[in-house]
Amino acid sequence: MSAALAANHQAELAAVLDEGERRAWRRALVLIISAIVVGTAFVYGGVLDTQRYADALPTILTLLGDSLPPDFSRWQSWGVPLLDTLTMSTVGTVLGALLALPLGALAARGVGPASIRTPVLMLLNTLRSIPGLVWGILFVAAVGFGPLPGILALACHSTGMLGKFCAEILEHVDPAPGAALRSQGVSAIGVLRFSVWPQILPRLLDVTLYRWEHNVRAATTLGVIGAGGLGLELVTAFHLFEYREALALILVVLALVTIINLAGAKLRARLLGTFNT
Amino acid sequence: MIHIDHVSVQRGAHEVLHDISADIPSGGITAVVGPSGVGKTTLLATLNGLLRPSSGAITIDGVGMLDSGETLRGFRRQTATVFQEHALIDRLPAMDNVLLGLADQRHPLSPLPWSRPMRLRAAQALDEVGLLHRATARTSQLSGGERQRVGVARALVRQPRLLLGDEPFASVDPALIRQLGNTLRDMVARSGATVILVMHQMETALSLADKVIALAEGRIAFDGTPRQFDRCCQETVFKTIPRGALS
Repeated sequence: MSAALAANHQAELAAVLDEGERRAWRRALVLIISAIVVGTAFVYGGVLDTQRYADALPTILTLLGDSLPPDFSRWQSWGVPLLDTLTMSTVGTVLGALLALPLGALAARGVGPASIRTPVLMLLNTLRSIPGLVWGILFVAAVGFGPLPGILALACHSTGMLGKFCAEILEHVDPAPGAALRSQGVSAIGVLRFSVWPQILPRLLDVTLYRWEHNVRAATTLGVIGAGGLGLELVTAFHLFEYREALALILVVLALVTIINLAGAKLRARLLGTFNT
Repeated sequence: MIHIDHVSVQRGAHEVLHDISADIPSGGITAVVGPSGVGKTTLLATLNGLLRPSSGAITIDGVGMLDSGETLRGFRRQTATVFQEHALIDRLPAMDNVLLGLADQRHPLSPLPWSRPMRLRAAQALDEVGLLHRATARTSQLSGGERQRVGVARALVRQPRLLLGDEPFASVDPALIRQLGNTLRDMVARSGATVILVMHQMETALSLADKVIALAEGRIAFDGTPRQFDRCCQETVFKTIPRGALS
């Protein structure tokens, strides 16, 4: 009897060791295949072609030389484009956040009806899968040049991103304080206002501020397709071979993004620290 | 008077409470005791309508608690509950969590801040549980015992006619248990409120309560005064006892 038990135990031990070995081999195989795929992509993309770097370096140095010193002489004409960029990023973010809130609620597991959840998730997925530039081209064709197509493009992409975040934030709300409120006769709207809202507000503001920072950079890029702003000035300067002015504009964009980032970080720290009901 | 009339409660496929009947007198403290998993928390959740009985009824002063939505809402407006897991919003200050006890007295869409009289009541409730000095501290920064006391303050601020407590003295030290017990006694004497406490600490339950209900295996194993309980079955109730042995 004891010999049979010992044999069983040995078989069990061998099975555990075999399974461990199989898993280790599987992991190694996945690692090797991944390394081959990434290596091939490096070669295909020309990242390892040193000759091309040797050719590029003098061009970059020449461009850099032509850009120095930066030319700020036309700074007075950048006021309106700067305002356009800030308008696009701010209004686009606010619009995106306002649309993201109800869509995110409908997309959150256990919040909205299950039949609506999948179509809303697909809508949010589509909104954020299409790049901002593509939205921009679409809206320039639809509503013409200026900040408006930029605003709409940023709002569409932001709705997709913020809606997804909003759904995830809502899924992580602690239900216990809401149950406590219900037990004292508070209405469903009251539960939303006094339990859900204070729990999600700081996180929502946090991701919205991140999105605003992102949209300032994206608004600059949108100028390329005619949505106005500093981006349009930048592209025009490049087209006219005004590299010194282009560098000055890049520095302005850099300063703007840095200021917005610092302001965003300060606001986030403040909101996450002291937001009350 | 709360009358529990042949109440059974099902959670999923499992029946937690089986055919329970008891009377809970107004203006006193009733302790519900018993080992873990016998249905004490389920009984409390049923008493404030968070769970619905699968059979039987609960009446308060002769009115069925679940007769209509309005009856239940009206009943809940006079009720306060202290939850075992506190049910606080961690990132809010203690004061704001206590103010949530008054949420049903404020319009949910009002952009105005909490009124001064409401803040004063919240501060007084925090003072009663000895936490006024921690009013502005974030709840996540409080100890387990302090969080528990914030939960008690959130219930006290409502000045309820019925206070339900699910292990309200868990993780609170003995001196504070005495202080909180006195606070509840004062509340009962002052306002004639009814207090139902689910407890593990037998000594506290017997010294604080006017009536003891002991549960075993989802049934009432004892229903009487602390003195009767002390004499007959203190030892037995906390062991696994055969069904109906104490009835």
